[in-house]
Amino acid sequence: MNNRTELISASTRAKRKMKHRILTILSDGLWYVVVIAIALAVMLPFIWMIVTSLKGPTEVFAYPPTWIPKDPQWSNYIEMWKEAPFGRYFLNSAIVAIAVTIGQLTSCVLAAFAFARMEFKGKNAMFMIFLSTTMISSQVTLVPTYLVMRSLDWIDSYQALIVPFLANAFGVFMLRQSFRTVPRELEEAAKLDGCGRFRFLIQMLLPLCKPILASQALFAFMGNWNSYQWPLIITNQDSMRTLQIGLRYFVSGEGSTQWGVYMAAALVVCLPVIIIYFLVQKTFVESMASTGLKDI
Amino acid sequence: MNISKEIETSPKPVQQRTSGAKKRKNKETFEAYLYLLPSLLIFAVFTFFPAIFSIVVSTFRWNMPSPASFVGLENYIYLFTDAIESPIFWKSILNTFYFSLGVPINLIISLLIALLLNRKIRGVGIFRTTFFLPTITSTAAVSVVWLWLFHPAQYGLFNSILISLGLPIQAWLRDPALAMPCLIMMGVWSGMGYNIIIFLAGLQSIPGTYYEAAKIDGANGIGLFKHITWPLLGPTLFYVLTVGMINSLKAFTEIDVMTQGGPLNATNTMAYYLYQNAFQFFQMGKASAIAVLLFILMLLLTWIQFRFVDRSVHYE
Amino acid sequence: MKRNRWFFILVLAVLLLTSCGGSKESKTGGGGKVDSKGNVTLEFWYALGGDSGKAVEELVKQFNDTHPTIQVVATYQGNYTTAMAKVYSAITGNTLPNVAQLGAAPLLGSSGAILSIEDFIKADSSFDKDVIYPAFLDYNTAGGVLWTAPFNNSVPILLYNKDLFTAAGLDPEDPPQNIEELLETAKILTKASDGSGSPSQWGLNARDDTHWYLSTFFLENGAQIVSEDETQVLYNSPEAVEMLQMWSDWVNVDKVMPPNQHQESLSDFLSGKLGMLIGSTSVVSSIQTEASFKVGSAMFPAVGDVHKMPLGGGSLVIFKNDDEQIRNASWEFVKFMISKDSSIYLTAHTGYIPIYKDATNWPEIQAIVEENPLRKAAFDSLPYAVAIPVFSALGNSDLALQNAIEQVELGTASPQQALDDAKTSVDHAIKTQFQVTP
Repeated sequence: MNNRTELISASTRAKRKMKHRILTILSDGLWYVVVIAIALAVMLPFIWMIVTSLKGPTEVFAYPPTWIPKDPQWSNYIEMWKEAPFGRYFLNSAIVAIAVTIGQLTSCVLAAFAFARMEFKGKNAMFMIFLSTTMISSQVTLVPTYLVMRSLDWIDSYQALIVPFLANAFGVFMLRQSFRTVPRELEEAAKLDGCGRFRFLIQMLLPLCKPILASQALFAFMGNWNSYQWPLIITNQDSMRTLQIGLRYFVSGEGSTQWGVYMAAALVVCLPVIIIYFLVQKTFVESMASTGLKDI
Repeated sequence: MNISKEIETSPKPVQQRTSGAKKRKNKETFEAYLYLLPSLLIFAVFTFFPAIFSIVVSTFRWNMPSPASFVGLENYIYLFTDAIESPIFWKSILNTFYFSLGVPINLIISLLIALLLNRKIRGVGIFRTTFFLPTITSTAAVSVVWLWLFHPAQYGLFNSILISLGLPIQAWLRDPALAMPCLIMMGVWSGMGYNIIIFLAGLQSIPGTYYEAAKIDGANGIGLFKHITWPLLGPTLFYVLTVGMINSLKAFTEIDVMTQGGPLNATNTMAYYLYQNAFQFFQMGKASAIAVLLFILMLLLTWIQFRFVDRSVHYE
Repeated sequence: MKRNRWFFILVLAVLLLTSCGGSKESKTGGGGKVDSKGNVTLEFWYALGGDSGKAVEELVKQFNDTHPTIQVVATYQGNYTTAMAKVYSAITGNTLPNVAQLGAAPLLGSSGAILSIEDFIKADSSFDKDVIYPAFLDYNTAGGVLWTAPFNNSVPILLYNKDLFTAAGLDPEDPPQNIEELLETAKILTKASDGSGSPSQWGLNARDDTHWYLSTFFLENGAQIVSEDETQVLYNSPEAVEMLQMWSDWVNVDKVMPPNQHQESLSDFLSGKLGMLIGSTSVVSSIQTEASFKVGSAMFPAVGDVHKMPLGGGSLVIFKNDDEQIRNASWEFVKFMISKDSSIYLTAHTGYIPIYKDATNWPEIQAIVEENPLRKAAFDSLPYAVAIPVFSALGNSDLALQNAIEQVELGTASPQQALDDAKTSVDHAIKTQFQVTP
């Protein structure tokens, strides 16, 4: 490549450079136009949600629709808390999502440690068993799991919302992979210092694997915060509903006409996850790309 | 996706066969199972037992709150042959596949956007963030928003756009012909971000030297895509396709919030029909039969996926 | 292979343990608590959203304030369909509340999960059921037993936008009285749009409980809905088919009603895009506060000169419970909810109608009509109110009728065909699916 460019005289090089720059600016400009257009289209539902959430009952039904609310109704955001116990829903979602995150991470770390760092009889069989759980989807186990809950008298309880999600084979695989990258010498050295296996896990291995732990926690939290079908089936009382279910009942009420308030509620429901996403998006996107996981 | 491969390459125990080593191994085995126990317990109670129980329940007629009675394969026969039931069930199977058409559409759009975003230019991060936003947002909330976008009156946003373009307005989710395309459209919108991220990672893992070498050989943009990008991205593509298909079989939230399977069962998929039978009609046996059939379908897809992964080892 | 055998034994053991738990037969316990001091906490489910829901909550609050030893915890369970699904699931899950407000509640009589209100009334000399309008008692009776207590009752009604009437040159004080006038008016009110291919203003629409309004037309046209022996439905009689044909024509021939947009009908009406709305008296109050135009109300259009409105609305159910104190507290609560004062409160704050025979003579009720003329149509309808016989298979009959309407509106079936199918489906359900628990 060098040889070629050297052959070109200085003046043509300058001309070419100029032409190249103009072309770059043009193509960059075009690129921005296209990408911004797509981005706006993707953002449209969000924009419309925010716009509508500020409209009063008359303006919501105005035709043609207005893009800037004439008389912004911030009261929609107060109204929703009055009309349904969103505070309680919020608390329930938080309790469940945090408990699942902590519990799931604990069980995954333990199992991953055994798979990554120990030799035992039946290891491969165990591994296959863990692997096979990923093929059994929640739809298949829906009815029987509900029946199990019923016989445990767990309907309308935090246990029912939390316990079934305390194990996750995907999490085990991811952590196992990460645990295996830590050199064996470290463990041998720790052993010589009289450090037991469990202490090695807690004091040395986990701190080394913080990034993957963080992303696993994130997946668990978000997945659980957004979950819908199971909480829908397993909760009856308002006091046990999570945000997603609360929103569903709120919107399906008599008449379905208060779209301003509904949009305010929808925004509040998805806001926590959006905020977390913006705070940690780099880790999030990277781990999503490297693990290739979505459904957790 | 490379899990199955690794089993064979996992470090083999060193060949010590002395009794001391054996004893130590026994102790280690015991300890290892202690570590596995929490996960195993949960899996046993909430995954394996229900999976087996599902098959058992599917052989009972169990219309709650009446007691259950064993009927063998009657539920399956009923689903496939009953004069009233079977047309709905067949429709739900067709709808399931119809809905999963969104997956390839999603792939194509995502790939195009990923190719567009695969360059070092100022602000590319912001766009990546934007496209990913719908993926992390709760499906329930997003469905409520789309329900409003698809409102069938003039003041619904999509209809008002149609009117301003001089086109006739549509009933969207209330029109049996359009309801499923509407759900697919929303599915593409919300699933795109995930695919874009995966594709971008795939694209960026292709060494730049390949492209440079090909450019020197005089390849143009389309040639580059055809001979380098496409073959190297193939496995990622297939992986995303099968995972997407499996996920689309499970879709529930958007259907429940937006259409409840209607109009005229136009959006009633197997997953939703299962839910209706179990938790609206309380016919647990029939619902379990649908669950078993859905499970078989998913296993089939997973099997295809694993087979493919086995053949694509070179990619790793 | 040998080495993982013990694991399978472990898994099997766990499976057995859980399945033993699973086969444990459910006791008829239900919710509710009695603490050591004898204070009772009752669980109450209700199925009314919006303003009506608020009125129910207020009544519960009043009860709690006046009954120091009983505390009622109220939970909204979605509309009647969702709430009934929750009750079914609770029957099997043994997580029933103590009292519930539900639609089509007498159906639960055959489930074995509820106690009959009749027994409570017999045991309580302070309550006289003869003061209640007989149609309301019929509405709560199944198989000859008064299972549930009438609470919030409504009749179908016609609402219209007076401003649109004036704009179209119609007299806003002279709403249509029968089906011919209804169609004429609807035609005038339907306005073609500026080229969007769809009217910018529709003449007529019905709320999403379409089966109820179609049933009203059935009755008014002389069709019978359920056979005398209650073993089949008679949806496909010529009188019934004629009515669905009329409905279909509104959509497909006269084009005065949008196809299959009943879920959006209320918001269309409130936004001034709809001239007339067939709905329930229950929404009258909220419509008044939300609409930015003058609303009018009229009795449901007659067929010929026949008025006959099937009652709608909800009832109160008391679920079985082992604890006598809880049972008594439940009845105490139900008695409060259907008392004269509560009935007046509910009538004043919602669109429902009072359940007492002499209610129209009460000054409080007369004041309500005077203050809000919209309410008059509902009270005028009272003499024509009837109850459709309820029996257990009618649980899915609503859906079958709605489905028939949806089919003809979307043009996928003729009225005859759609009603034949609906009849087959409901009769099928009567025969095969609902076994009455002994």
